Amino acid sequence: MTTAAAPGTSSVYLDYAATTPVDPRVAALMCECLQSHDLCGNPSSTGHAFGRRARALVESARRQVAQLLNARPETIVWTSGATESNNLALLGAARFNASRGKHIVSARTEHKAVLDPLKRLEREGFSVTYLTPDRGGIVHPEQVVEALRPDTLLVSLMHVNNETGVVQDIGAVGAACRQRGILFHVDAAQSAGKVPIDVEALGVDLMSLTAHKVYGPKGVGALYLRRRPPLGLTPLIEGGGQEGGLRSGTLATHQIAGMGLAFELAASEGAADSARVAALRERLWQGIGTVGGVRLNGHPQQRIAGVLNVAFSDVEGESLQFSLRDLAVSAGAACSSESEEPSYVLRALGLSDAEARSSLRFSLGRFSTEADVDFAIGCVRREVPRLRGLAPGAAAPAS
Amino acid sequence: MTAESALSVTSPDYSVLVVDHFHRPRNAGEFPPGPGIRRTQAGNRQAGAEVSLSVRIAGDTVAEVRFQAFGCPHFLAATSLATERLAGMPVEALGRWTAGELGRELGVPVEKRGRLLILEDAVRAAAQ
Repeated sequence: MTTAAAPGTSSVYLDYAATTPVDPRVAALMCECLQSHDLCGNPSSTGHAFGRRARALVESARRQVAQLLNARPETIVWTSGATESNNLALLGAARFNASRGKHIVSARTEHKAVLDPLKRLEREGFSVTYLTPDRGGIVHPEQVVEALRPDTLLVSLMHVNNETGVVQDIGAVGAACRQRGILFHVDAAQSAGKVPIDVEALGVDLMSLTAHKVYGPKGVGALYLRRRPPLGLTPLIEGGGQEGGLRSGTLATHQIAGMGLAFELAASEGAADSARVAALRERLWQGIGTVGGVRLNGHPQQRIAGVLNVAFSDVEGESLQFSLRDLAVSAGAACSSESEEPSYVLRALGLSDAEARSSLRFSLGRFSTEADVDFAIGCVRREVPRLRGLAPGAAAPAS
Repeated sequence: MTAESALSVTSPDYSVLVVDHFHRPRNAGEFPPGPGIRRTQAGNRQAGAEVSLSVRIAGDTVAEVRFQAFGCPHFLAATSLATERLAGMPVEALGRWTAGELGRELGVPVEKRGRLLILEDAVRAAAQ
């Protein structure tokens, strides 16, 4: 599906789940990294001061990211983003540990960056069980336990769904996996900085992270990799042997420093952000609700503050999106916007094709304001009744 | 491409004419039942496009057309534009009416041309 917004025409940004604006404090640090001659060194060139200064920034950022997860810094491997982290976690862990078993459990509502690597593993001889969530988008831990087999190697479940904002009970799944010696991977692209994360308490072995959903830059991410007991991974990228050989390639100092600061800010300000954003989301929901014929997609309570996925009845999806193009919102996941198919996530929740097509995701964040929300409410109140009034059966007598 | 020029990109999905008729649909609504009023209907919401036409006939000529429609911006715009084009046409010509020219004028993409057949069905039904 297409995004509702035509680039360059939207006046209000409500697409934080697709990507967040970079926090100005993060941007300032990144610019400093790029402009300072003292920081121009390769972080791997620790034989001179230029390289050592860059290395110090990288390691500081590693601590900042680890801290948000209650993890040790050495568990963090830099990548280009959550897609690469998911690929490295799934392909890397499955290929390295294939002798232990070739069955994987995941869910139909995972991001494509999980589903597509899983499809590749199926072509390589692994079998994958895809769990169907309930109508609220919840994958119950008992469903996961029931799907486990003696040859189950790995469970992969996202913490927060990118389309609905629904939060999964990762801790219960992690405990079940740990009890059975099964590897547990969590895609936390949408939860880091929004939901408290403690990888030790949650029993997570691998966790995918990205900077650009946490007010950091696009193009950098990380994989949390449990180190005790050591967990083997087959790398996807061969080369200079950076990151302990798990991810070769020159480390992007400015990107990494930006991610580090973004995660530190999330640790100190995330809770306050969430409280404020939850109030804005409620204001938006109440305002949109006045047009009638709207339904919240996903569990009403078990979800993060910033996402509101709404199905509008009696409105054709494409016209709805086009009529609201002053709002930068998403129909389906931004990452699959090339596709005209209705959202597979909403279909998995039991919505019909038409309901899925007439659904929009509004997502708010740190820089959203009441004025943004009120503007969005105004657009919806103007356009949804207008489109409904055009439809056959509407009470619109000719003049 | 500079950052400035990259930011000036606009949506290529809809022509100016589609946008105009989408935002200012002409002749929306319906006539009350009465002499000289013909009503037709085609398509359905499950398929994503539905139209209902209300045609006022004066003698052998189409005097006015009103519409109600559910569908994508191209479909709504095509229906709105059609109501303008049909006014003044001989009633017997409605049975031969095709939406091809209208679709080209609006820039309806090839993959959506099938939806215009629903509009054609509704217009042709008004000939009887």
